[in-house]
Amino acid sequence: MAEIERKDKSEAQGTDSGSRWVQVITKIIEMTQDGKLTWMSRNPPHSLQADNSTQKEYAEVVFETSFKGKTLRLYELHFYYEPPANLSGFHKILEAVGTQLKPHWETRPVLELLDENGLSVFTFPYVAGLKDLLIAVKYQTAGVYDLIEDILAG
Amino acid sequence: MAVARAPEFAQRIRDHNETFTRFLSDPVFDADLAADEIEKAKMTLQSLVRMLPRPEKKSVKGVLKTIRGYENRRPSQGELRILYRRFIGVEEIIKDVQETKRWQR
Repeated sequence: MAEIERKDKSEAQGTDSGSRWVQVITKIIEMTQDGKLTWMSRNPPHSLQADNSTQKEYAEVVFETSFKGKTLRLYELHFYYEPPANLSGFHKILEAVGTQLKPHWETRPVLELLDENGLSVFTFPYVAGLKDLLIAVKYQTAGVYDLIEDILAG
Repeated sequence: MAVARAPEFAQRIRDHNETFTRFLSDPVFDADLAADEIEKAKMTLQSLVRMLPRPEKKSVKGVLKTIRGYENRRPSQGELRILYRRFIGVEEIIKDVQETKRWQR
């Protein structure tokens, strides 16, 4: 049964960005690259500011854009990963193939939908493409295009 | 052996997708660089396809067929975008196969 479900899922996916969430993220990437979405960099909200040494997650900067009256916020979350105290056999296999299981800092892109007060009301699932969205947004907000134009004119 | 290489393949596909994104985000599209990256990505897929179970193997072979359509010429930005979408699909497939532990030995 599970095999049939996986097959159905795979065939439905083809290789054209399977889940609906992946399609959404891919579309946002393309709208960003085409300049149809304009992102602005902002200071992170207080809850994400690295203001003390005990904080276990923070963002250096957040990016926001508006689309049809909705605000999206994207950022790279830095978080401190602590593995479970007692490693299972499965975790030992993971460690053997190179997965880092000691406490360490990691990063993960986060995309949220904000309400009119700037509060997060929904977090998009972490799917393939979210890291690419962050790359596309950084290209746009860093003003790479303007810089190239200035250098060539200059 | 195959299971041990799964994270390596996942990372390689991720790297290709990040590179494609940079090319697509760059205001000056460099088709030569894109062609080089597509060639590298083709080699990754050729190695990957042997390790996948049948339905996923068929999907990845479809991506290889798309790549063959770009051989011996420089891709347009639109073509690279189509390929990127398909590679995102490959990334999801690898994730699914990893989660269900169905790698071929």
